[in-house]
Amino acid sequence: MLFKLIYNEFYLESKSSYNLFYMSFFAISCLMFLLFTFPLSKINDIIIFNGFLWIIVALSSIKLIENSFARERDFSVYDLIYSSSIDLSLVFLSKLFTLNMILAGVQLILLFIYILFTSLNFDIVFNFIPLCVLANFGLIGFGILIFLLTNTSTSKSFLFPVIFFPIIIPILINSSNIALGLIIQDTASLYIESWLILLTFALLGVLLGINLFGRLIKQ
Amino acid sequence: MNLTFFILTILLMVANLCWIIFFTPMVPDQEWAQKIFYLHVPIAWSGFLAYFIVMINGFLYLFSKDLKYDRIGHASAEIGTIFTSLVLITGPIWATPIWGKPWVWEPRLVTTLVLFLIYIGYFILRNIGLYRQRAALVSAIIGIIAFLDIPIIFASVNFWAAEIQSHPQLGMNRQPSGILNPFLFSLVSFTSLMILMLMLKIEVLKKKDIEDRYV
Repeated sequence: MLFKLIYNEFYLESKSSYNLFYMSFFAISCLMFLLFTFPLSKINDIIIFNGFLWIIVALSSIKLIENSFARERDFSVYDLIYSSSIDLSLVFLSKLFTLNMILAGVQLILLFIYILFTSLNFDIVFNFIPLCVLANFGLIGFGILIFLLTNTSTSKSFLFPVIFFPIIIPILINSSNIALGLIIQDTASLYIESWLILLTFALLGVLLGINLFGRLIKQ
Repeated sequence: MNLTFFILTILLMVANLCWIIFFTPMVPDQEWAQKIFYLHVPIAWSGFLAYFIVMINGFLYLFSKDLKYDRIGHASAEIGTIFTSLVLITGPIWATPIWGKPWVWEPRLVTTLVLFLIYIGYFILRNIGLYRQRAALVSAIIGIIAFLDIPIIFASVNFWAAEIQSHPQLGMNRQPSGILNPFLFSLVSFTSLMILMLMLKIEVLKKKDIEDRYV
């Protein structure tokens, strides 16, 4: 059932706005904005790139989650999904895996573009995959929860980022710390602890989501 | 509410302030600025304790759906936020003479500010007109998630640029009794104040719920 739900998510994805393309375009636009904003002497500074990568990822995750739910309404399948007899925790997991994969795709496209401007190479970029996947579990898991928390409000487009950003700051900081360690190919300060914090956020995002997704949808 | 506890807390606080102002030793280099430490750290402790109560009651509400736990969580969140804002005020007061500027983008300050912002979001969400049970569910979840920031605040000094600051509690066990005793007394006084405020706020919220016929 889970695989069927994941397939449906990807199917809806390809039928709608092609989030992977759309978010990659958005992310690359942000990157171009960075290149035009910073002085030329700074654009190959890996620390600036690293910081900006995670800001772009955070913004992309917000748009991804919003699009995912908006798309269900556009295709009039929202009620069909959430009033059916399917276990809603499986719906949450399918969303989590699908959005995780799409966001990881956006991150990889962004990292390949980084190769053009920085000293990054393909080996380092491939080392990023576990980091991206783990960070995305936390970002998407908490993102879906916060989206549902703010969903009933008329000012949800304002409230969602307001609550989401402070909560994901530890994820961004630790991802950035690990990314820097991977780029300089030396263990950054408290490298292992950063992985453990990411793992904690990922696990909590998944566990809270599994337990609360259904209740938040139904209430 | 217990009147004895109320009077005892007020007496503790008055005695605490007198002890801090008149009887604690002056530390060379820091002089009067160091005395903020006797307030700043206990206030931070009380704030974090209040947020811990929010988290516990968040879990209890999720399991029981009893609005009693939501009232306790809501009251704790308000008190925790008052204490956290005091931490964010007293910190810069200490930092101005010691660091030469009131605010530096230093890990513990930033993570504390993040915690404060999360709770600002918590209160915005509570006050946007959600119906009672929805507001309780939403608050319980945010209270649980927000608590994740607290261990990070404690560890933040080690994570980023540890040389920037030295927080006094790191070496509390090595402090002379002239500093340690008033500090511990202050810790007890502020904890007692926090509990008193919590009890008062819970009573207010309960009366409001009775008025709105939720109890």
